[in-house]
Amino acid sequence: MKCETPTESTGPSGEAKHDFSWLADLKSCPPPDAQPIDGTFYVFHDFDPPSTEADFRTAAQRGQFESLDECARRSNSVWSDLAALKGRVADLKKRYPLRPFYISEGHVKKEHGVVKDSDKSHCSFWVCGRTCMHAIFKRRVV
Amino acid sequence: MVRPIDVLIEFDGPLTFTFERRDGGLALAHLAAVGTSARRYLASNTSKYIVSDLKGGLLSIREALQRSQLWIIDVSSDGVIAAAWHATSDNLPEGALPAEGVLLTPELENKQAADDKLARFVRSATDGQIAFGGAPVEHHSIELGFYGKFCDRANELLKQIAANLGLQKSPPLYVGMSFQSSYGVELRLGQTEPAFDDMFVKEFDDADKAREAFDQMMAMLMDEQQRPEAITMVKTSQPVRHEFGKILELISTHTATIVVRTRTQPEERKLSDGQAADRLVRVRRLGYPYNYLYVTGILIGGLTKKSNRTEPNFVIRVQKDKRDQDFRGPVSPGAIQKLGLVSLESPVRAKLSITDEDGKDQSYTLEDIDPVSDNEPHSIS
Repeated sequence: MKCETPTESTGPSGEAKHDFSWLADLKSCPPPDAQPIDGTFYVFHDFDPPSTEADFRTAAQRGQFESLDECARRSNSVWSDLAALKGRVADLKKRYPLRPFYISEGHVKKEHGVVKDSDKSHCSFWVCGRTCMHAIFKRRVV
Repeated sequence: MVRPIDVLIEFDGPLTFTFERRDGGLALAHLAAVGTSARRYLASNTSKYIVSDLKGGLLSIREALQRSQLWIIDVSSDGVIAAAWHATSDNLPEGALPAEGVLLTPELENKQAADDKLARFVRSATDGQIAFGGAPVEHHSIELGFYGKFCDRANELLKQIAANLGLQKSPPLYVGMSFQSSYGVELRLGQTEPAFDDMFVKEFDDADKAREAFDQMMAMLMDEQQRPEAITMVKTSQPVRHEFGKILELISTHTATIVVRTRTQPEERKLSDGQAADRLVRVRRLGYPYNYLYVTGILIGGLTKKSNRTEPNFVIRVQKDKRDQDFRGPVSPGAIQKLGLVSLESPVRAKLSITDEDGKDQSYTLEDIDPVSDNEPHSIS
């Protein structure tokens, strides 16, 4: 996947302007309660540096969770709480000792897409078509 | 093809899950490594009870995987097995398997850390634990007459349930006195030797059925809300009902209490003498929930008028699990008219009352009958 550094894109009144043309085949996707947000988020990945083929793929791209809502399947999982993600990864590390679990940090800006909370720390992130996960989450923290 | 059926751990996708093997059996897969185009799993044949034990924290991930020949499989992103080879825990790289004692979830580990008795039961690796209380127990000793009869009757009930589930041989039940208190015992199911022809295709079948029989027995004895399959078995099998009644009678007349843990339900379940007495009355008198049997099948015989020698009667055939089972008997006055409206060889649903014939056999009386559609599945409940 070719991915540019995110570019600023705002509407006439300064609101974030997104390109979600890759979701155009779905009705009401991203959902109306997903909001542009400015904040630091964390993601988990298998390779270091993140693989362009295998990391940051959505459930739809991986062909998983077929029974879930298609719009949700086309989002990426991101975490707002590093400690919660580290705790989860520590539990998994015990169960999958040889599997590497890397965590990277990214500063998500409003123009990067929209975010919806699914629980206290896990969120669904629909990335604007003008950028991509690899360009946002670049600093490995674990 | 690897398609997850029951996902046990997931994190951005299934990490540990069951899938159906090419031969129709069940396999367990546990992620070992991730590549850009394929994922590598440790896998082994499994059974529904191994999965149940894994989910309940009775088996560690390592133990569950090692219950059968271990495989390494590389699965491409479209689910196709790209490569597979045998493995043993000796030739796997250090750390490929989770450490001894690592359970499916941290929650299961925390639960056992907080409950010594539960942890001791898990460590015992037995099929069940039973502790006695009440009148037969005195200063950590138990009255031999009660204890001997209890073991005998539990064994007989298990035999009848096993036969009802189609096991040709009843699994031997072993009792171990390895508790700290002398009135608590551990129960372990022995293995029945499979017939030679079955050795390779029925790796877990008989063990699963033995476990099912044991679970049914404990559920029958201990559950306040009886399982539907236990109720049906008590209603349809006079020998099961007879043995069930005998063990309830023993507990109630000796004012005993019993406390049980099983692998399927590791939390304690208690039965008091009062509860046993109440259940005994319902079992012996075929009271609720054992009073009526509901069958869906084909009406293959029936007479709505009294002839010279015969009272009005009915025969309904139920085809279930590739077996024909006929229910026959007299017709209650209230059902005669409705029976007359149903033509022979029609699919029907009927309500039958059960009459115990002096504890030796049982008969059925037709209480109600209605036609049903041709595609209505046959059932007994």
